[in-house]
Amino acid sequence: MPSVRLQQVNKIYRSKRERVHAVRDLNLGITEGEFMCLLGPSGCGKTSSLRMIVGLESISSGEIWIGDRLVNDLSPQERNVAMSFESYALYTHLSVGENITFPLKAKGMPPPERRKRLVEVASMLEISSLLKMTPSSLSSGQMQQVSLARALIREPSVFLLDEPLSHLDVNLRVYTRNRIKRLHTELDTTMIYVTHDQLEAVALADRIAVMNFAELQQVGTREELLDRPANRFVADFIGEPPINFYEVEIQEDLRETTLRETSGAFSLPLPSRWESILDQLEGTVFEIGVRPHDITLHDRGYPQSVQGECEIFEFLGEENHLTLKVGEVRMTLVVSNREFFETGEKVTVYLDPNRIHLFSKDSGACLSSQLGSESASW
Amino acid sequence: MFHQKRFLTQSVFMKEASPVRPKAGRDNVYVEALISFEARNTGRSVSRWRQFQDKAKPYLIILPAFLLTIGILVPFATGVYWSLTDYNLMRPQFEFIGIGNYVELFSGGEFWHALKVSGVYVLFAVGTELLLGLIIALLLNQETFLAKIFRPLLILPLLIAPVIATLIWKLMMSTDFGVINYFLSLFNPELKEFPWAGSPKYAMLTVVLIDVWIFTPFIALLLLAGLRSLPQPPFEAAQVDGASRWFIFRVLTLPMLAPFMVIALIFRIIDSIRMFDIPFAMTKGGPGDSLMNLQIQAYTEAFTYLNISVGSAYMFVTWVIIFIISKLMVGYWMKWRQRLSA
Repeated sequence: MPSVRLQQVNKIYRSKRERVHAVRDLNLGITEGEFMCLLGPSGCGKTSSLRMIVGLESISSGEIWIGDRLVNDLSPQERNVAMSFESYALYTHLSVGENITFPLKAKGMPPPERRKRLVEVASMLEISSLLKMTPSSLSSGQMQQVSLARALIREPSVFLLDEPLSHLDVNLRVYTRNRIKRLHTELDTTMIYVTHDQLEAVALADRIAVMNFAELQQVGTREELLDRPANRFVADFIGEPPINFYEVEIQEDLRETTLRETSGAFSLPLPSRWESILDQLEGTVFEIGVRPHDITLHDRGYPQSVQGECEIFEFLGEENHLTLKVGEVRMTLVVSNREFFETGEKVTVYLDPNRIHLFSKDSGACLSSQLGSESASW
Repeated sequence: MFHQKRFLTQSVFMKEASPVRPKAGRDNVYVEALISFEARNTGRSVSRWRQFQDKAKPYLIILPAFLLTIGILVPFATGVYWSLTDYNLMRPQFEFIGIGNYVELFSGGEFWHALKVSGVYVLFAVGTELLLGLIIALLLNQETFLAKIFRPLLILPLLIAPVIATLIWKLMMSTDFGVINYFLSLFNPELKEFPWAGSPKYAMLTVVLIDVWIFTPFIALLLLAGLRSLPQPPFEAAQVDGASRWFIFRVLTLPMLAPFMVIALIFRIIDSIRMFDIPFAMTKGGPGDSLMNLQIQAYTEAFTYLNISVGSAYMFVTWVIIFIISKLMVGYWMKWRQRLSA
């Protein structure tokens, strides 16, 4: 049974001048103990969704269930979920310790028990030394820990996090990310995590719900999102560096059918598994997507080789990014940290035919994913 | 060639007579660092003229403000000086008598009585205003139809000069034709004769009532502005944390609003200590001496008895009291602000 369930949820903000549909027909089930990320660009409705779950925003239509309770008309106080805010939302006039025990005090828990829980949570997050300080004297990383502690001290069954890492610097971000992941494993709570950073989502989540323009695009594990994206947006949003897109046209001659990049930069033989789709969709403009990780410098027997010229070479340490100019178009690929290129150098690369995605240019739908899931189900 | 030579002599000169260093202090260290940095980089030393300019600049910048304060400082100093003399307009000459006026002031009963009247006035007027203002601000801090209508109306009492408001109240409180007494008589016929400021017993109640009527909106407006400027996330977090509305009000709203309350209190306390128009327009300090506060006492001394020196002494003591109170409260305000800013 899902621990948090959203059914046909809509959020419409109305003001005198305009009407903003922030969340449209959202259906999402989050199972007990799951780590779910709501991922999407700014303004896609992910924070609105979170605020509707927690009760800070009214639900325009639809139903939200937490456990077996319909929470639509419950106040935030009655929903019994914990939340960590993007801005930390600390009570600046109270000490760190008072901040953390605030939820317990609000519920009238006696002081000795409060202190006991405080000691436990503080040692879990390694902030025992800060308890007497005021929030204004903390660094942003420490504030983040305090805000987590304040949410955790309630031992919540559902824990919502709204972009908790967005104000931290890079090192601290990785450290806190690991800590959140560890907390999830230790505490076994349902976590719903909102972020616009796909790396965070991929690193943390059991499943990721990708949103764009108020609509849910796809829900799935990171492998599902990478290998079988539902549409062009998901394919583009997930993955670093971003996927390469090329508009292609189908050319049939006597011997074989090929996909020719529209400007003629390169041609690829049509993978046989796609033939059935193409027959059904005559007249559609197609696009293919190739992930930078699926392009190699080494001939592994792939039939498709592409010649290009090095345009940008980014040395990044662990892996390097190479952007080639192929005819009129550009192609980015990831190479190992031992390989270096100079601008203008001629490079031959090979594409893995099994890992090319096919999209319909008009609808944006990923045709190859539909095929993949079908064939998987057979 | 010539330039080179001048350069040389200058730097030699600077080496010999090491420049006069400003006394250590955080700002000076910064300026010094800049100067020496410049000196090292350009390869020449900073001239004395330049150093003088750097030092004189802050004073030059502040000069206009200083000129403005002359208009305040001259009468203030004159007043303090007069309070140390036996200046009386009925006598052609006056002479310096030291702290004689103050000794007389503190040993006589009139001053202590005036102080008590002022204190009671401040306590009851400002206390009631703060309480009512807070309640009104909380009620108007919502987006309901009524709140939207009442918010602009709130300012109306502040648009009337206090003297005129008092005179209108005085008419309304007349035992012969006052509308207030008429309405009171509907409940109890005896209240038709309620004397208001005519009786020493109720005089203070009357002026405090008028003060509350005029100035509660001031506090309500300040606190309303404060409420609206409070950051929202802590309140949302408290809701999610399961805190009741009363708990949120007590533990979050009140402390976070405290700086605004202190500001409102500073204004109102200072205003009430130097309150003159309401009691003067009402009874000129009477009946008897029941409304003789510090200001009216000083006015009576200076303008009725033409005893400028004693009047000045009253004013100076009032100034000291206001100075100390505002100093303490501003200090408290700064401390809270610092604590609240994350």
